[in-house]
Amino acid sequence: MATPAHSPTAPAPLDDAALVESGRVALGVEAEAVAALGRRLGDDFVRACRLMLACRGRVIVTGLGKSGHIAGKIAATLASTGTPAFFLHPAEAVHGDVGMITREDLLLALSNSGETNEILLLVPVLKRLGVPLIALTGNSGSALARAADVHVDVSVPAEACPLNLAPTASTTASLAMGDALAVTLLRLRGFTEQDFARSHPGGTLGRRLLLHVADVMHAGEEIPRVGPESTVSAGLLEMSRKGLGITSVVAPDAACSGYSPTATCGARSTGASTSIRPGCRRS
Amino acid sequence: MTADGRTIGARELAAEAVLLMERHRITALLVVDGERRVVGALNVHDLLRAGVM
Repeated sequence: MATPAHSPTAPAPLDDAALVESGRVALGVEAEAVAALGRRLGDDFVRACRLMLACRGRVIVTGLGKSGHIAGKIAATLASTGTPAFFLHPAEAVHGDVGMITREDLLLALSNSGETNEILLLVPVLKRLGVPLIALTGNSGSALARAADVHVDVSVPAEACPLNLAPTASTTASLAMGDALAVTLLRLRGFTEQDFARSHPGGTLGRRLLLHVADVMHAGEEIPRVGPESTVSAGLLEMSRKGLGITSVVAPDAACSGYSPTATCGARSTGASTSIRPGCRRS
Repeated sequence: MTADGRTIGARELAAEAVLLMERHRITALLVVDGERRVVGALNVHDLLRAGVM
C-alpha cells in the first residue's frame, strides 16, 4: 500500500524545504485570521461579554463537527476560569438533551456556516425558555446569526487548507474568540490564581496554592521531641524513631499540655543533607 | 542544638515551607502555633510526597 486509498495518483514528492514552507504558509494564514478578528472586535464582543457575565446559570457551548471540538474546549476553558459551562452535543440536544438547558442558562453556539440544522432546531426551544443565544459564526447573514441575541463575527478570508475546505483557520478563529471571551470574563470577575487552583486540585498549581502545612505535617505522637535536659544520644534515638531528620527540644510545661513556648524551643537536625536542589522539583 | 530554629505556621501554604527550606538550606521544619508551641513537624519527603516540590 504505497499509495493512500483516498488518492488515485501518487502525490508529488516534496523536499524538506517545501514541507517547512507548507507549514509556514498554513501557520501564517491562521495567524492572520486571528489577528484580523482582533482588528474587527467591537460592540458585539462587548455585548457578548456582558450577557455572559449576567448569566446566572451555566454557559452551554454547542457546535457540530470541528466546531463541536472547539465548543468542548471553550466550555472547559470557561469552566476553569470562573464561568460555569458545559458542552452540549447538538445532535443529542434535539433528541432529549435539550432538557439540560434551564431558564437561567445561556447558549453559545458555534457554526462557521451559521446554517447547522441541528443548532437551528434548538432556536425555538431557547426562545420559549427565554435563554439568550450568542452565535459565533463566519456568516453574518446566516440563519443562526440572525436568530442570535448577539452575533460575534469569526469569519476568515480563507482556510489554511489548500483546497479551502477543511476547517482550519476558521476553527482556530473560533477557538481564539472563545479564549478572548473567557479571559475577559476572568478579568470582569476578578478571578485570581487561588480561584484557578480551586478548579485544578489535581494539578501542581492547585497543590501549590491549596495545600497547607497542616495538611502535610506530622502531629501528636509523630512529632519528635526531647527535653533540654535530654542526652545527645536520647536526641539521636528520637530522631531515628520519628524519621524526620530533626527533633524539637522543648521543656515540659503543664500549663500548655506538656510543652513550653519559645524560650526553650529549639531544633537539632542531622545536617546530613542541607539543601534542596531545584532539580528535585516535580513539574 | 539550634535555639530558635526555623519554624512555620500550620496555616501557611506547604509551598511556603518549600521556599523556607530552600532559602535556609534546611530539610525539615517545626510547625508552631501563635504562641510558638510545637504543633507539628515536617521534612522534604512530606513535601515531595504531597507533590508541592
